[in-house]
Amino acid sequence: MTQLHAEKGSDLERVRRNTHLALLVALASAIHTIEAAIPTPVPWLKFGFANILTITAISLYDFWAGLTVAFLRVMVGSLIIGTFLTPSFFIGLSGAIASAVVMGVSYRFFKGIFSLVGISVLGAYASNLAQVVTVYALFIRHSEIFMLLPVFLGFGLATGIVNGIGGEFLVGHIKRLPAFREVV
Amino acid sequence: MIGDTHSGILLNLMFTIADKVLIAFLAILTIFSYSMASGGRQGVEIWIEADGKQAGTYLLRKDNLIDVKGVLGTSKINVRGGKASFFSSPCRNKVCIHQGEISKNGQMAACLPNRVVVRVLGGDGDYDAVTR
Repeated sequence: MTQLHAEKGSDLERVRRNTHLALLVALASAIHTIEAAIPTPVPWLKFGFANILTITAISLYDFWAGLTVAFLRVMVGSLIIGTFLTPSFFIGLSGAIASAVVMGVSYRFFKGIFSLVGISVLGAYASNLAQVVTVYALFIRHSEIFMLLPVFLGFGLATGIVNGIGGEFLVGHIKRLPAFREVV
Repeated sequence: MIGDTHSGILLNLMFTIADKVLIAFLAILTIFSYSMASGGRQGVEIWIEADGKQAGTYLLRKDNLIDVKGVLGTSKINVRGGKASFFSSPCRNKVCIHQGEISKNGQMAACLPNRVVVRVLGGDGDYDAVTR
């Protein structure tokens, strides 16, 4: 097939965008599901590899694309694992949305300053902070929960860097694929 | 563009100067917050809460095996040698048990599914803050 030259805002461009986002959501949901099987010291302390797809969506498209991937990933993923509407669902949802918002906004404004690694680290911190606040607000109303914060932040730094590198590789790779060409 | 680096050797190119500054700053912040949070003293008693209601306080220096009725069933809390830990709990992933022993003032262990929370209190009454 020859290269499609889609105009921005055209029907074709919209279909392309939705198809690409569907792929990213599917991949993110799969990673989310597999990750649930990996044991971690604290239940909602996850590597968040699915966030790579959120970063990718933000980098390829925009803020809303990232938010869509993050939201749908948590929905689909939790339905598969069977945690829908349980505490870990709300904790995960708050983290995913917070990181998507922070990454989307920071990508918009600091695109040239930070690489995807920096954006991803910011997102990981936002995610972990939101999760601790959610636990505090909804489940354990004791300020002692914030004693866990250093653990979350240290872990967030590590996963943020790893996911950022993953995002750089994935975006770099995706931009070479014929199906994704002309997107940006 | 940075995103186009495809080889592992070029990994270094992924990090911009701003990235490195950000990572260094957050690392220092994390280490600082860790030293703030972990400097607790040996606690005097444990305070147990089940389903949002107080379920009793027990002295840490007295060895004990406490049954706490939560939402799912009975959690057993083991107090031995001035340390408390979850001995058993009717939850699925047993995170509470893997949290290990708590003994320092302000430390906390919780079984979220069973809604049982154990906190360490006391230790010269040096509360940083009292909530609710």
